[in-house]
Amino acid sequence: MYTKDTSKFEEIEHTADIGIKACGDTLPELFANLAFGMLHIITGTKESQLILKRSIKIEGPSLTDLLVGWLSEMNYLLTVDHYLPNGIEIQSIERKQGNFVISADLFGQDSIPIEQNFETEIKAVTYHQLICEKRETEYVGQVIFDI
Amino acid sequence: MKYKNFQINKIHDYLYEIPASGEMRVPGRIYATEKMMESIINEDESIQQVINVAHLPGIQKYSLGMPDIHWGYGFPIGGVAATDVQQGVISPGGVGYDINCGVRLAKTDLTVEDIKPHLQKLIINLFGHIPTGVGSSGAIKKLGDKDMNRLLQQGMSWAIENGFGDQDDLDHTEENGNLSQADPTLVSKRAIERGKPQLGTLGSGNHFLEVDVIDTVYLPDEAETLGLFKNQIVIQIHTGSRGCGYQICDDFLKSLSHASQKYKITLPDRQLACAPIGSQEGQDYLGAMAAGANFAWNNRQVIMSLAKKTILETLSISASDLNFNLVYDVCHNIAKIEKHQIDGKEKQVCVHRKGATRAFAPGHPDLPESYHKIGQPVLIPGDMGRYSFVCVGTHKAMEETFGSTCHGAGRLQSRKKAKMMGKGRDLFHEMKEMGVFVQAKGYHTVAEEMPYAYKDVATVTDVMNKAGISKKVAKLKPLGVIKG
Repeated sequence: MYTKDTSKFEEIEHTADIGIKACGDTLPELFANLAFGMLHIITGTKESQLILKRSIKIEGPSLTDLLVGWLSEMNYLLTVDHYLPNGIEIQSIERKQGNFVISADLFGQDSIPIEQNFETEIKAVTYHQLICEKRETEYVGQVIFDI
Repeated sequence: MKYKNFQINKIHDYLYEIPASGEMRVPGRIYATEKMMESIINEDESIQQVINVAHLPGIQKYSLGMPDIHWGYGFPIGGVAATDVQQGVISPGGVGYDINCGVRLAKTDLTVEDIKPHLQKLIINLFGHIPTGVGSSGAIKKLGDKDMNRLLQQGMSWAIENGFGDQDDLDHTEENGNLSQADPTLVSKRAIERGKPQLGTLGSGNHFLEVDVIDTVYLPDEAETLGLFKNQIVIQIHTGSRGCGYQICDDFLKSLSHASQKYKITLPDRQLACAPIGSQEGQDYLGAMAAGANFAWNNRQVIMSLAKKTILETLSISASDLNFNLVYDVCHNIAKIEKHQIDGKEKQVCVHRKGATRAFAPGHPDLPESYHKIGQPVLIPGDMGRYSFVCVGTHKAMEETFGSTCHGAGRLQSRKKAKMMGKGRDLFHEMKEMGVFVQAKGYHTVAEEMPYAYKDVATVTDVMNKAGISKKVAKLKPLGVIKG
């Protein structure tokens, strides 16, 4: 299971908005690190307990669409259910009938008191300057958020 | 002047043109001074975005940039584009994520002397009653599906029927607070779930509620018609459609990205995803976007009603002593079907205003009767420390900009840089020294929103004033602010 490690992602500047840069030895690790990076922007140092498991499955026509869908799902769970995952287990990222599919279990807590703890509202995960690719021995990703 | 391989010609001191070349269907035009143009060219890719927008099928006359132009997703912020309803496209990138983000101005009979002794208490109480900040909720009882559906469908009259205002508020709101194309069945369950708990909340970022004083009156007759006078206390509210609108935009960026391929529309940037206005995909976006716009009007109306209640309670005065009335409510992120004169003929077009404000001329049939003589009020908020402006639209705006003008200051520093600059300082105290009492959820929000992080809105407003597009009526100075 992946857990938040602040050394594995980096906040980047983007005019009125904010982004995250991360890397991973594997594609699942990259997806997990980018998710923790985004959650870190929203919640800062707030941590949840690993008491509620949520299984999610996201599809997208390309790897970048999959990444946007994956992060959008986390943002949705956070804003609507106030669900903050602290652990991520990714079973697979695979190609099925022309689509990319990610299956994962999230471990965290519902009903996090949002008003006291959350720092930044992310309106949406954008496609601007979106990177998700393998470079030599590692996977590299970058995402800009509209805030 | 040059930008990349493009020639930029000066039309007059406040207007520059990029002639159509390559696949551009119309020229690009930017309202700015020479100095502003130089910094726009060096600052970001917003001029490239004006050029990109000029590629859209059915675009009419010009791809326009206002003086507060800066980089945005797809379209620049401060961008205006009108597309032919028959031949043209509609693009969510021309509206933005915060559908019908906008500003409203409410007036009172109070003067600065009346409010000064109560100001801090009033701001604290407003901050207590109007939820601000990330994912803020709980302003009123969480909406059920039936009410959510009704307000998306019918617009701001929902708030009036539910006791959050009166007919006069509808009369003083752009489109009377309702886009008739709204179709809640086109809004995803996710957008509905994101919006339901958030009605009557400000949110975070640059959204705010301000207690302002009228500092300067430039045009006394126009100010009198608007019911504004020097030293008067007014309230400014800046927010939009919250999670409901963000999700609608997100949903349709995906579906319209497919539509661009389906209809073989070649785009220089995938974030300009669009569909022919008459196509199913185009009509669906229009219907969902209109529903999002209706959410935003209800949101600002509920906030105004909460503000009125808070002022009455804090000052222990009667409603007739306060005389709290809406001056006007404008949207600055929207696409609307409007009639405009093009090449001497009236034509129906879809006007995308992204970070731009409608500025209709005197006599326009869409204006409230009381404002027919002066033109549409335009509200241009500045940063939280300096000032904001009230202007009115002109006939020149109808001729040149599809009845549109600028919308605000635009950032000077990135949020990260502004946050760094705020470290180790007492920014609440610094704002108080500037004469502005601030209440905000997070210290870092204040740091991101400090006046030094923004451009001077006066220079932006002056360009449109001197270009004859929108005339300055009054200058507002903030006394107190609540933020996310």
